[in-house]
Amino acid sequence: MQRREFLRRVSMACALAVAYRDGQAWAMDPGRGPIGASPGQSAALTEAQMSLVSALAEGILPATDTPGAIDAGVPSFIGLLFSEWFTPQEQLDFQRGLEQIDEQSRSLQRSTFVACPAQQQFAMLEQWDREAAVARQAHAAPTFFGRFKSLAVLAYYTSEVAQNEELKLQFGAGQDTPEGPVVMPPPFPI
Amino acid sequence: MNGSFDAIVVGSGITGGWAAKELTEKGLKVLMIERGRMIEHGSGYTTETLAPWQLPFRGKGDAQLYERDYAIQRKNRAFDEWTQAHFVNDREHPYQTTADEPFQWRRGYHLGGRSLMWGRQTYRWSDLDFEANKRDGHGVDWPIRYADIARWYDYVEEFIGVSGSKEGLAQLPDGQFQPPMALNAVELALKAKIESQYHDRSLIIGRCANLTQAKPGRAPCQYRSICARGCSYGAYFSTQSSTLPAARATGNLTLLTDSLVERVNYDPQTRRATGVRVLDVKSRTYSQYAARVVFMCASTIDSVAILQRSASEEFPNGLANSSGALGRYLMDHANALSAVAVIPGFTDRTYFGNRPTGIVIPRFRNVQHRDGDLLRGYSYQGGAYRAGWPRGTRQAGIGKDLKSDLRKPGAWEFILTTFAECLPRAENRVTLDEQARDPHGLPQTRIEFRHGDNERKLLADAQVEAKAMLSLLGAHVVAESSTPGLGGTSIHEMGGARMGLDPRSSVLNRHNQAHDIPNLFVTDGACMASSACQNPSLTYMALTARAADYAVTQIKAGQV
Repeated sequence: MQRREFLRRVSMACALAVAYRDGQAWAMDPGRGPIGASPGQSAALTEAQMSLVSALAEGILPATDTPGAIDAGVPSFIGLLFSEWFTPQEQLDFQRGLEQIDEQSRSLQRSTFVACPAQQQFAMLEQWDREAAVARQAHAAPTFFGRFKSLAVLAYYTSEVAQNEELKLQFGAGQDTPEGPVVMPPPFPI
Repeated sequence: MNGSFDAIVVGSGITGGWAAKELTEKGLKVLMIERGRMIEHGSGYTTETLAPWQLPFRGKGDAQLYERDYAIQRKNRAFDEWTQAHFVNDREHPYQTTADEPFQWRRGYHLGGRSLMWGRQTYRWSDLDFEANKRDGHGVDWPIRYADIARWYDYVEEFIGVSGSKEGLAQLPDGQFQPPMALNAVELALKAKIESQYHDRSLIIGRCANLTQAKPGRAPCQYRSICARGCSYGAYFSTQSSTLPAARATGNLTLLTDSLVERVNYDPQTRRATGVRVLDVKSRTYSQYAARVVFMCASTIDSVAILQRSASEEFPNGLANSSGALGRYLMDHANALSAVAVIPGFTDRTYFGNRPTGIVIPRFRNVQHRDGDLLRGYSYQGGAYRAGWPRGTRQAGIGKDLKSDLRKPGAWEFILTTFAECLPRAENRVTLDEQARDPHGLPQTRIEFRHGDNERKLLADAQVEAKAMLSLLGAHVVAESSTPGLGGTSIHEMGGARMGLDPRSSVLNRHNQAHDIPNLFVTDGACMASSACQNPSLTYMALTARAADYAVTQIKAGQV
């Protein structure tokens, strides 16, 4: 079997087989390269970058009747992934993606994303979310925003705050039914 | 000599545990040797109850560590930050394979072996399987038939606890079952459609070694489906939960961990195995242990490798290998994700908890009649589920609407994966690579394995049929494949020391006893002469219990 096909299958199995583990394709890609900051590369996001990460994450998963991304510690977990999870190339891509967010924000709203009013931020997030969906539909490379959103969703729903307060009605995926307990996808058994 | 026993059991996994239990209960003083570390039941399952936020990477694990040390193991579905300690460190346990189709050797070196993180699917074989080699000429004829093993299936199922439904299927015989786990609404709907549309097909709950009723010292399944972390309820069969306590209770068991069997010793004068040479992997010192009988239960590939390392002047190509079959005829089921489909409707139906098994559509090809040029058959495993919050990583939406949507269960999806029978072929084999050494200085194992045309034809047929069956529910197929996973990805390695009637073409006789050496038994997957399409572990267990019974009668009769 071709390696590409194998990796696709593994990714698909990860994505489809276990609801919890299907997280986001970026972090799960089994073909990822070696990790570790290379000389001259920042090992941590700057304060300004973290502010942008926070604003993006809170825009995607805002505080409502339950806590939002910031309360759930999403920015700090994304910062941890950046420092200790990403390959040097992924770190560069991530930093470049943040720069592009602000470039587009300046182009659209004449201001950095963080400095924009909430309404303008939301409009831009909607546009970028639409673009991410188009890329997914076309099986094209995921956009930066699409990848960022995957990280934010993963970080939020695996946090103590979100699992206790947002998902409190869910154990696994649903509620009781007459059919009784059920459903995990098929074992790839040992 | 560091000790003398009635029996030595090499390995502590699914078959090692069974050999130790049976031999100790029959009064033998047994030494069980495990190459890996100790893991005690309960207290050893250190991540079992941790929440994602209690792990450094929320379950995703340390990417740098995985890249460096778990390049093979991390591709396993059961591998994650909770379970990583139950898989070998690939860097410390290297092996050789082919570059174009690298065999994926997935292993756990610790007490209990892969019994700790196995898939727990538990199926009998039938005479359709035991007669298959003779029928079409691939492989050598099995020296046993269903009647020889049926009572041992009964015996094993009763002890380990198997939940399942009685179906009366000739190709998938019923057993001693605890009450089955439940099918959900979508699975019931597809079952009804399939069974009305096809006279020869059925959809049933997966038979699994998870308890639905308590057994002594073991609680019923809690529907968490986090089994591979280890289950302190003892709700699924493992060495730790089941066979080890029984063996220990006899007072006849001596257990060695962190002890690697380098070779089986052989006396050419008596033509008997005399014991084993063992490396203490911590102190790096060697010991010798003697016994009247040796049971090889180290896993399919490792049992073969140990016998190959035990070559001598009389057996220059590996111990008990006068046939030349040792290491050859390695098998692993060909698997494919045949179809994944979104199922419309049923939005008012869902479920509670995480069932640790799926559904099975038993084999229907070449059962009641011959199906074209296909040999043997395949069966599906899978299930229906509603997507949870992770769908948010790939669906459109932001803000409070996204949160609101992810609070609810998503659409129903149905997965059908296929296990297709793998024909035994001499070129699929295990050898020793004398040029490449492992950290202990032992020659590395080399594994050459490729699926053949028949496996690909079976998977192609399975893809077509999976889509046809799912279409009965108006399904929208979102993914499909007939490309077999690399060898090893089913984690059903079989063969390498096959059973057979003829000592010239097989390593073991009808009692899992080496043709060449009467006090040497191999009862793990290495003994298999064909692969069927069912998960094989139950058959390993039944063969082990049967062989142990035979060995004890032979000892008492003074034959070994």
